[in-house]
Amino acid sequence: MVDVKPSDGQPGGHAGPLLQVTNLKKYFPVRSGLFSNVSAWVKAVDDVTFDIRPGETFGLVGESGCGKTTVGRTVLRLQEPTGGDVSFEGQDLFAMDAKTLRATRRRMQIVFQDPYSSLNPRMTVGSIVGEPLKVHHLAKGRDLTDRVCQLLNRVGLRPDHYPRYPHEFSGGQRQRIGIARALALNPKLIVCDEAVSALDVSIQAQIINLLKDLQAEYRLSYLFITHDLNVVQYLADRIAVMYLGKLAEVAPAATLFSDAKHPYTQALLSANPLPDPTVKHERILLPGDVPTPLNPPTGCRFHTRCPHVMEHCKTIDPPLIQIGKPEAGHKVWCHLYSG
Amino acid sequence: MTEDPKQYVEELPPSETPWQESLRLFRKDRLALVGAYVLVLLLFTAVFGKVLTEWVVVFDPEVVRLPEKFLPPLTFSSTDDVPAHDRPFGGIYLLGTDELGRDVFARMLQGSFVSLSIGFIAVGISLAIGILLGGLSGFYGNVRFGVVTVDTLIMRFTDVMLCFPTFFLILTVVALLPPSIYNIMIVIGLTSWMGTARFVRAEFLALRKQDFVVAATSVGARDRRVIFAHMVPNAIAPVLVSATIGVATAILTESGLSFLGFGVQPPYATWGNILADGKGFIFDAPWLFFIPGMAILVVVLAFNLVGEGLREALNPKLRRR
Ligand SMILES: Nc1ncnc2c1ncn2[C@@H]1O[C@H](COP(=O)(O)OP(=O)(O)OP(=O)(O)O)[C@@H](O)[C@H]1O
Ligand code: SF4
Ligand SMILES: [Mg+2]
Repeated sequence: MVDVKPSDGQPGGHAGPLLQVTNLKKYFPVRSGLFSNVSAWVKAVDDVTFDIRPGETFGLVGESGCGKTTVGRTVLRLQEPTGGDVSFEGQDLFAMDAKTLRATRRRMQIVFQDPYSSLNPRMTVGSIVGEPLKVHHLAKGRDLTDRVCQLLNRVGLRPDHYPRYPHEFSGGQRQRIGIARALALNPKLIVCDEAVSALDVSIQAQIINLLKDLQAEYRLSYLFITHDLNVVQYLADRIAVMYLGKLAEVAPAATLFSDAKHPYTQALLSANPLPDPTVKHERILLPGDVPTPLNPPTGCRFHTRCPHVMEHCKTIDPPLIQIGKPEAGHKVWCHLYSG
Repeated sequence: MTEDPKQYVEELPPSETPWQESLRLFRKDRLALVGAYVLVLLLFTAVFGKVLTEWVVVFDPEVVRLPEKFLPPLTFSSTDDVPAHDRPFGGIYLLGTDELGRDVFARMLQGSFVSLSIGFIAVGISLAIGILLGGLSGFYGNVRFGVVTVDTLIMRFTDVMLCFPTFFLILTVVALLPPSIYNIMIVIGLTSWMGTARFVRAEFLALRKQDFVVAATSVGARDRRVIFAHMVPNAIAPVLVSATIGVATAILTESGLSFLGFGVQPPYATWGNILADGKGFIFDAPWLFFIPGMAILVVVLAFNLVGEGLREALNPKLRRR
């Protein structure tokens, strides 16, 4: 990585957000019957809009099953979308042919949650980290080995780990290998899907610090997906809260933690233990379970559990509402704030 | 950079590739190891059998010596009754003679090669078909042809094939075709690929969802590389297990066919037709029945033991993390 300088200039002189996601939808078909006909749709992601700026960490939080992973994967077009647009560096990702897509993927990478299933058990660490360079014909022979060793070094592993197999490493080390692989192509955006959730707290801190260092060094943007509010609080510049396939609230990290507007965000924050246990805060207990995305509630998807539910919440989708000035970037989807 | 990268470095145990690890686990399994030795022995027997009964004829399975029929094992050939050039190697019938005075040892040797090659080639054919169809169905299964997907098409065809009682299907086909060892190999192969297809498909479907396969796509690897560098090496272990057990099944099928008279035709010896010939003399010459029967039993058992041992040794769940 030493010979690759972080470049600030965008190809084609593109200015503005690095990634723009507009009305993204992803429905999974539920098939049944002899000829596998579609009998229903799982609305995993339904109309999600956000953007990520260069060098920014954008946190995406929400309970299990709300569609965070699906957002992350659809944004990289690892899954084909059902609807909506994603533009990366100003280019429409969903309109690209296979060749352009392959080239574009060099600048957007992913780090996975499970450090055990994200590395091929039958490949050496060296070939795992070197694979991106190899498939794009960026290096071969000695040059490839050298660059892989530099990458290993950069993420805190030793070059003599090169010929080892993944099962010989601990979870934290394996996550480093995954980061080295994502870093190999010198990307602009890395989607971290619960990248530290499977790790012990002390190891979590090390990996988070590594991610921060790398961000400063290469001016990376992260889409940081997690269910752990403490992690995003520490890491994210802006945070989006997701519920059942839709966004509930988007705000700068500090604003979200001090002045959450959406009832769901408030409930999430109240369930999160504060760093200072002497500070008393009231826990908002939500009634019921998360409904299934197979048959989501009409109107506001949160209305079945919302403590402030009103009659029209049950039928009318809440509109996007700006809290304060538009520059503040605090958006909420809730009828409480309309009018 | 705020931290010294060295602080993370932990000492690792001595390096071991996944295959080495499996081998180590396999070696711990006594029964499987015994099975493996039996198979190695069988392999040598089969190769030497082919050489010594057909190319450099030391043991001639076809010499008929009517004066010396039904001799029990370990009987010496008497010099007066048989001309010198017809005498068995060393003058002794290691496994006795049959109703025509043919040397059972020589016939068993010849048969070992036939059995083994039928097993391997039939399994080779069934693996090729099974992996191809299962792989297509698992990787490109969502591609649609009109109303049906590739997956539906292939898997329903597999189900149809599974509906036939295989042995009777083979029996019918073999009865219609001219009896030849190649037809038997091909027919067994063409009727035994369904299990392989099914679990290669299942394995591929599971692997496609694995993060490392998604990661390969996301770093820009093409389908060919994703399939052959990432999915096949991880799907091959269970294929190996079922192939091992498949060889045993094919050997049994061939023996069954030969026993019923539909298999490899005399004078060519196979374990199945030695057994079939011997069944008429079960009280007068029990060794004619017992020797091929035991051979089949031991070999089939050995293949199964090795298969089970491989299953354990290659099982990723038993692997330390
Ligand atoms: N390939 C798929 N086929 C069908 N349904 C799917 C598929 N992938 C995800 N889903 C469904 O979509 C919904 C969202 O899943 P997703 O994995 O995106 O959630 P998540 O927020 O990442 O959850 P977690 O925190 O558990 O990782 C879930 O209800 C899930 O069952
Ligand atoms: S729109 Fe209504 S139901 Fe939904 S969060 Fe706001 S108040 Fe609650
Ligand atoms: Mg997830």
